Amino acid sequence: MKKLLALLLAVVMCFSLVACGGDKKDDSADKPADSAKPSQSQLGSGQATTEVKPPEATTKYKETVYWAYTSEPANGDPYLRVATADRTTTNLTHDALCILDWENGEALPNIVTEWTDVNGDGKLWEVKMAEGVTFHDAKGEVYGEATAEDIKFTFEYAGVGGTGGVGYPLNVYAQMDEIEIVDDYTLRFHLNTALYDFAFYLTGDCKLLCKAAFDEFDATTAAEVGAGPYWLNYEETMPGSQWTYTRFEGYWGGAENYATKNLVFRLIPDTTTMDKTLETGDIDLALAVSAQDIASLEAAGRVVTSIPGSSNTFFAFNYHNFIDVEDDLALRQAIAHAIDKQAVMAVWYAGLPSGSESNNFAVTVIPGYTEMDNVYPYDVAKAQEIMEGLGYNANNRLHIRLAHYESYRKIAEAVQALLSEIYIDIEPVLIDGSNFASFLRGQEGWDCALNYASMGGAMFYDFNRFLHSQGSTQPLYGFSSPEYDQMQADAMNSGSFEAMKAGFADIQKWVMEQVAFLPIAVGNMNVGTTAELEGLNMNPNLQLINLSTIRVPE
Amino acid sequence: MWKYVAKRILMLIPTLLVVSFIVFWLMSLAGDPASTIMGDNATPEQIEAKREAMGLNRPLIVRYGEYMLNVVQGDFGTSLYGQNVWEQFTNRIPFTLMLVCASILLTVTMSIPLGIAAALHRGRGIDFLASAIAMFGVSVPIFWLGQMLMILFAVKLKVLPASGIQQGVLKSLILPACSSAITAMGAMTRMTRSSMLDALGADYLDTARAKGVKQRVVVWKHALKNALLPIITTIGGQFSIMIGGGVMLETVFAWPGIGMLVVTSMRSNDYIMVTGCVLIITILSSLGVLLTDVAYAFVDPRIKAQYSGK
Repeated sequence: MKKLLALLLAVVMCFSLVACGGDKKDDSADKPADSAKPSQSQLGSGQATTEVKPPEATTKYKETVYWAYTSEPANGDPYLRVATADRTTTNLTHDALCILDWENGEALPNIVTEWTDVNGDGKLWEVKMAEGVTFHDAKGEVYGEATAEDIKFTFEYAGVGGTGGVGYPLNVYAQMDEIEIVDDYTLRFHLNTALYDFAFYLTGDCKLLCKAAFDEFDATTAAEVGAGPYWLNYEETMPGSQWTYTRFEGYWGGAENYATKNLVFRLIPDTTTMDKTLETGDIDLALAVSAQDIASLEAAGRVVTSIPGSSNTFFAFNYHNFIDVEDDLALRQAIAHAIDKQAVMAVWYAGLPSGSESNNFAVTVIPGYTEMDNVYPYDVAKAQEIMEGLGYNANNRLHIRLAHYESYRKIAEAVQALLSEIYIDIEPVLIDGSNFASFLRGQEGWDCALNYASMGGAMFYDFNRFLHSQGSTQPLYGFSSPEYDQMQADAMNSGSFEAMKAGFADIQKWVMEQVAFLPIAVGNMNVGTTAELEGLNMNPNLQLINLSTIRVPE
Repeated sequence: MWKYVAKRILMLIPTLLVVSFIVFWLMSLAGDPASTIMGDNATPEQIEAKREAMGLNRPLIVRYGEYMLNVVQGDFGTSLYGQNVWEQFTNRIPFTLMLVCASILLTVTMSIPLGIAAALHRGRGIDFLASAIAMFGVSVPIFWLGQMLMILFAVKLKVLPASGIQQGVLKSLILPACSSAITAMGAMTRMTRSSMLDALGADYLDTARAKGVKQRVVVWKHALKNALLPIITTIGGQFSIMIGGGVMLETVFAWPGIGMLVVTSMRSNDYIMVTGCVLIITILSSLGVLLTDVAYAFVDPRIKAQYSGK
């Protein structure tokens, strides 16, 4: 009997050891301090670029490349997206009017080849588009040629208040008084607001739709007709499992630049499973691999490329009902001095390369982003001094309710510990993530909050929505400052793009000095690939990674 | 017999109504679909307009009534992202059923002989072995077991695919089905063992043995047949649990069944898809219970007699 039990235990132990045990190379995964120093996953490493070399004519590439993500696209409509998968897949099927060069903060021509500020006041833009831009149909055949009508239709359909009533509209449409068609390939946009960075509104999510398709098909089918280098091959697609994107041989930008015939997306909802599948080689690329798997993936010969993403986690204040103190700016400054961002990140990321310290409310991918040092570096003594000046001390502590959701529990706990040093007692208020925005909108029951924002697009887009007194997050946080409004208006009416950028740089500094919001960390984007995979085009701007150029030599 | 079946079906209706209302009500608490669709950047006015357009400002009971009216006409609605719920469900259900059937087949194949052997050799080595295996199956979390099997057979040994169905459905079925069967066989083995122990101790089996009936016939024909009732109950229960509870398993193995559909829909706050799927799962689970009851009636002459008026 004892022998039998011993045998059974031995079998179970062997099984667990074999399954749990890693190669010796994997040992680094158990050393958080070391793994916090990325090896192949250096931030801004050579691979993470928007410039991709074209495929070699002499090299033979695999016909099919598999890639995976944890959620699948809703369908092929670029304006009905719900997740990163939708953006990534419609990047394949639909070309944007312009391309964002996030590294240099420039808009590059694509379907739109030229844009001119006709009167120099940023309100009348003449736009010229390329001739010979072709749409694909649902079978990969050429459906038709794009004209200025299609660009006009795209805004009218997908703009805010447009005919499509789409989920994620093109916000700039609200600033358009008229879209005038000059000829088949030229348009004039009459704006009601000076937008010197107008071209940036044509990048990223501004994907061209085909008017004729909407005349012929229902909206969902019509929205799938795009001018991108791949088409959604429904015959090979099984929603819920895999989506096949086949190269469009009639692509206007030259199909020969796209070496992979079929890009097959696989839905793998569990991150660990996705990373293990990459390790087995069943997929060639995994979007958003888990930071804790990076070491084991690299030990298995996979490459992980990391770049700062567009998601900024911040500490926010309830400006509707902020704490009644003599000097609320001083209180915010004290909090800023007391929060040791490195300590918070160490707790939150557990030493893994999941994110970088954020010292600017803007993120790197916003045009005009300015690198700056922490305006209020960690200094407990200074923070205590400010608090004492406000009348708080060990016997008279300030009580703050900090709203957060489950994902930010660790940050909340770290902040609670840090602020207790400066006579602030934090009361965590845990709210369900799906009701968090509604809770904040209610304005009651919280003083501060932990939240994040995915940022990107045009220069003032995010600052306007968070900081302007008419901004769309006004009901959430209620930040309102005539000084800010004026600074933004001055920058937007500054007369040129360069002057606007200079104004934006001043505003970024002002926002940090005022501690309007207190950014903590920007999450990294970690993309895992096989060592052989080439042509990865990383653009963290709202996770607009372009996979159309990926290829694997045979 | 048919009277019995009809009665069981009728009893399903109030169950389904209660369950569907609870699901509908719970999903209405799970966040604002209009906010989800409109995204972070929408103004309160845009969200309100969307809410109005979606009819979300009407009372819950009105929305529920309208929803159920459509459901009885076979219309489970269209998801927030334009997908037909019934179509999505029918696309996925074959995969879930395939996984459930394979798991149950494996469970039955492994646990019934093991349970019988444990009962026949009570207190001996094989009994302890069966108990240990059963305890392991009951205790181990399915997602952990799944990932361990994946690491062992896919990553280390490279003999089976880690996830999905791209390398062939049958090959891909092995790991999820085994994970499910190992966790399910604990309850089944223990049930078989205790039922067989009860049956083997019955007087009529002593009589059979006294009459010279062979032990093999005593066990397989007489004892097992009488021990089957609780075993069938367990199988029926497992069917329902696996249909509804496949969420974890399907997510771990990226198996494109209903569980994965529910998970991905929940992530995108698609309450219409989730409600529809949960409702259909409830119907299927109830049918599983119904089939168990009908199987009961076939196996147990007492139930048959009760409804045949004899």
